[in-house]
Amino acid sequence: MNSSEALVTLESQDGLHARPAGILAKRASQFQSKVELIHNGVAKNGKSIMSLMSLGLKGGESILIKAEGEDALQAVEAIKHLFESQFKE
Amino acid sequence: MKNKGFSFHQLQALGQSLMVPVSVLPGAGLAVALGRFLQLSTEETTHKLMEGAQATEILITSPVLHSLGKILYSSGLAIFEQLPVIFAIGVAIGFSGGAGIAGLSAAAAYYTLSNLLKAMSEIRDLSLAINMGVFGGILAGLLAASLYQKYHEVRLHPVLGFFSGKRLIPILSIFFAVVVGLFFSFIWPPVQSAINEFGTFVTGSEWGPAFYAAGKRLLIPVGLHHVYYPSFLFEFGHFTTAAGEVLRGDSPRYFAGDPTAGLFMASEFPIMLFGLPAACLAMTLRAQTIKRKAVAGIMLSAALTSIITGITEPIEFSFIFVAPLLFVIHVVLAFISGLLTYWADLHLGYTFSASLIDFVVGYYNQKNALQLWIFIGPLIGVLYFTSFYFLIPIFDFKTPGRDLSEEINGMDSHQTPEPELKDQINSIAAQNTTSDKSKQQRYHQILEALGGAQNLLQIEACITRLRLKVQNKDLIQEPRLKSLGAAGIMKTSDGSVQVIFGTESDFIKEELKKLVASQSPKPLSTKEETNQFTLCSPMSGKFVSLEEIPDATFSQGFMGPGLGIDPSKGIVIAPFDGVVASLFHTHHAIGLESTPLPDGKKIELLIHIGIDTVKMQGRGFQALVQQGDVVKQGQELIRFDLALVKKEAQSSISPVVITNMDQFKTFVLPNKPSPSAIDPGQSVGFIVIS
Repeated sequence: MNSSEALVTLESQDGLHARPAGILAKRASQFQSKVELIHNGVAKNGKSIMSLMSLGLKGGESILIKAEGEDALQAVEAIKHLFESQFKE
Repeated sequence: MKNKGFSFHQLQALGQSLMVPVSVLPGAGLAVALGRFLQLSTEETTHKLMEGAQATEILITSPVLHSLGKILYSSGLAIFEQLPVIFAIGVAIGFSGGAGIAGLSAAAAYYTLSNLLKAMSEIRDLSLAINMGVFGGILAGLLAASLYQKYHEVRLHPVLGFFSGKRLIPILSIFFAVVVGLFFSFIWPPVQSAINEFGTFVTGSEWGPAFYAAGKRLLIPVGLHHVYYPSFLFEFGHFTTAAGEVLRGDSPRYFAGDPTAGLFMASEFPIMLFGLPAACLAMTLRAQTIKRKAVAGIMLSAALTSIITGITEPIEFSFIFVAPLLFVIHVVLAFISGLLTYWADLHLGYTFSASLIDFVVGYYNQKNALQLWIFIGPLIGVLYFTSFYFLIPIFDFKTPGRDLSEEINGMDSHQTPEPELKDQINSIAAQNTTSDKSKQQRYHQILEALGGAQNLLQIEACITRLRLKVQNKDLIQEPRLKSLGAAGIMKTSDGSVQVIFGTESDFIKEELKKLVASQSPKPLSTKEETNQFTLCSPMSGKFVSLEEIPDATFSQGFMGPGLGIDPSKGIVIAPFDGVVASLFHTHHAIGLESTPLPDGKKIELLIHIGIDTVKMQGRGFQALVQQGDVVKQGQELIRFDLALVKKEAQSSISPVVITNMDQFKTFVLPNKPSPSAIDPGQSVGFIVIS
């Protein structure tokens, strides 16, 4: 089983609100791997909009993306890319 | 609660409570029948000439069996001998909704009443002793039950504390029985002689059985036949047994061996065994070809129910309301049946109804029974068949399988006519094959079709009908009830409704009572069905369909299915009980997680106030709860400045979406909600859970 992780920073001043959370959950759901986002020691399911929103991630804050499974590497890369492109997908 | 006269509903309640004492009779009838059979089959009668006179000698072949027969016979007959007090207790229990103390009080009242009437007959020196018979029993039962209803919660002074509440009822019953008894000792003698005259007339008259059979049919639609037949079965005519006991009424006399009894009961056998089954055949043949197979199933089980148990409502209610003329013919043919059985001197007996079972049980006192099978039965069958077969097409009566609009008017558009008819078959065939879960679902649907728990004020049932008192009759969905297996629905002006579900009515009553008890009266009810979750609106405003939300993320269903609301007030309430799963720090969006559904899943709902309101950085939004808080349905969650939102945000249209729809089947919007105002708590859609 592969596992992968990456630390990213949310640049948007709006924080991880409904729209980015929705986009992130949808992207994460395309992978087999278990995807988690960890912030302030709290790990949340990356495939659930509600869980992601409950992180309350604000602009400028950092977050750890962690994936476990066959396609863990690709999953982390894809999500990292979302953060980098500011969810303009 | 004040009684204003004797309403139709009360009369129905009386008819229904009469079923309680009647339920005692089949057991007694069976014992008497078996006893008689054993006695007669172990006796050998020889006739001798002794000293010029004819003498009869009875030889008992098996003393043990003969004694056993005697034991069974006397045991069973005891019930028929004590009918008035059985009726007193039974009616009191039935009328008071099962209160044992009312039954005890009724027995006390009956004995008081009956001895008082005896004493009054002597005091007044009447030639005919006052005897109220079964009527006295019913009167005592009603008296005790109404005293129970009025006074069973009365608290007395502590000194008399022992007699507070329920213990007060027997004392009051005896006291009132004396008062009522004195009253009736003057009222009853003329009534008694009138009854005697009517009884003598009908028992002797060739019209008697015809009036009995036709009258019963005539009263079936309103359910008052239970009030009509006891006089015939339990009051008219006298018979003195060898032991000297006097028995009254066609049924007790018949089972005690009175050779003149059974004339009334005989009149119904041709209808139950031949007439109505023949009508079923005619209705099947007149059903449309595509539906004939399904109708045949319903009609076959209805006909068998009539033949085997003598319960006729499943058949009768399939034509009474759609074809009143056929109902008239039914009554007329019942009258003819009574004339024929009297003319053929047919004597048959039953304790419950004119069924094949009762025919067998009561065989030993039958007379001319062959006439039923070779002549009267077939004739009545032919009469029913021809009138139904030819009249249905002439008047285009919408008997089962002839109404094309049945499925068009059906409430459940997903139901095709086939399953609809299958539902009826299931219902009449007592649903042995369907699983518990689908049964449970069906009870839920029945409750819904009756207008929900709040609409039901009283739920009762007799053998074949659900008897209800409802808040609003207009909430009753008749087509849906029919698709759920109801053979007919009757409404009366005083708010009582009868739904004929056949023999399973009693089970349905129990299930409905359980369901109503489990559904606490919540104004903002979310759970309507186990399989369906009703989503209520968290705001007031105008409905906007998901596609019309001016934000692609929502309108393309990216966040999940749901709807938009253009708010008219700056308040968000919790649409269900649950937990605040996420509250964004700018307070412009809130996520709720419902309390677990029966299958353990939780619904996650995102309420997003306005579009692009994240840009407002929390200005104008005030959260009344925090992330992780437990919230109750209807609780206020967020207040916001609607004017500010309208001014600064891209739009005030607020998406309300289910974010974990992958766990459920579908989200259904109700038939296009009107664009007019939605109130908070109003149902805006359904989540089909599985």
